Amino acid sequence: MRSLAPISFVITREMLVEYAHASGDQNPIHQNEEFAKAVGLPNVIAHGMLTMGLAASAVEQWIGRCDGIREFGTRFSKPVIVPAEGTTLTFEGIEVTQASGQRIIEVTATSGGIEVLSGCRAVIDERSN
Amino acid sequence: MPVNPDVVGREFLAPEPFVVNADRVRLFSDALYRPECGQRHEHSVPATFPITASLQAMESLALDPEVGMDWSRVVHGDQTFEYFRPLAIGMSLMVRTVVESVKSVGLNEYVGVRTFFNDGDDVVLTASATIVVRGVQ
Repeated sequence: MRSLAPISFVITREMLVEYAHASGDQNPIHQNEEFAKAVGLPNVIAHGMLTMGLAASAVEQWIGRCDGIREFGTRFSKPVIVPAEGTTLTFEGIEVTQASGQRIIEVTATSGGIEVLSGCRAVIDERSN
Repeated sequence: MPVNPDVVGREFLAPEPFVVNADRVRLFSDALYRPECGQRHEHSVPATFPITASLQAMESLALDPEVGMDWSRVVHGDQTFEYFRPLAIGMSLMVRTVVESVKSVGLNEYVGVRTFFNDGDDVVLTASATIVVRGVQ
């Protein structure tokens, strides 16, 4: 078991627009502050899938491969709140090698002092390409 | 109106195949801060890329009036991707979404949904999610 060096991403409103375009999820709670507040949110929030996607990018950096994730899952426990000035999202990881030899990376994600993902876990593909 | 429990087992087959298009992969990859992967391993597809198909499939299933899900009250509870083989640029996959479970806990309902991405008879990957329909208080 080993701890992996934290990886941080700056999350801006522009990133949310870019991700909305790339993913097809144009829900206004991720772009429009007035709309987000009108539906009871404290501010614009990031797409859960953006947080999950960035977690996968962090895993790729930790394992040094761009194609090494065989299984990846998470629960979305809290939204990442993105004020106009942006925010920071930090991932920490623990790598565990199971008795079978299978490598697992358990990821925690924090933004604004709050853990936003729970049970985030990647199973690493041992096949070499 | 609560989610219709009889929808367990209901399937939705996407009308169009999911094409792993190089431009769309690059757009998605750039949005996820993968500069090194985008340059050195252009063929690599981000692990969460299938959400571009499965989210739409889930929404279509939810909007089916017989399912009875109020999309405005929906929150993404969890998501998992399981790969049986890697996604590759150029693949064209059939997308089939199945409702696996419906459960009420307090005011909320939890709908378990699984999307299969098939290359012919082979399942390339599955995307599983829990959709939470928030109850009105």
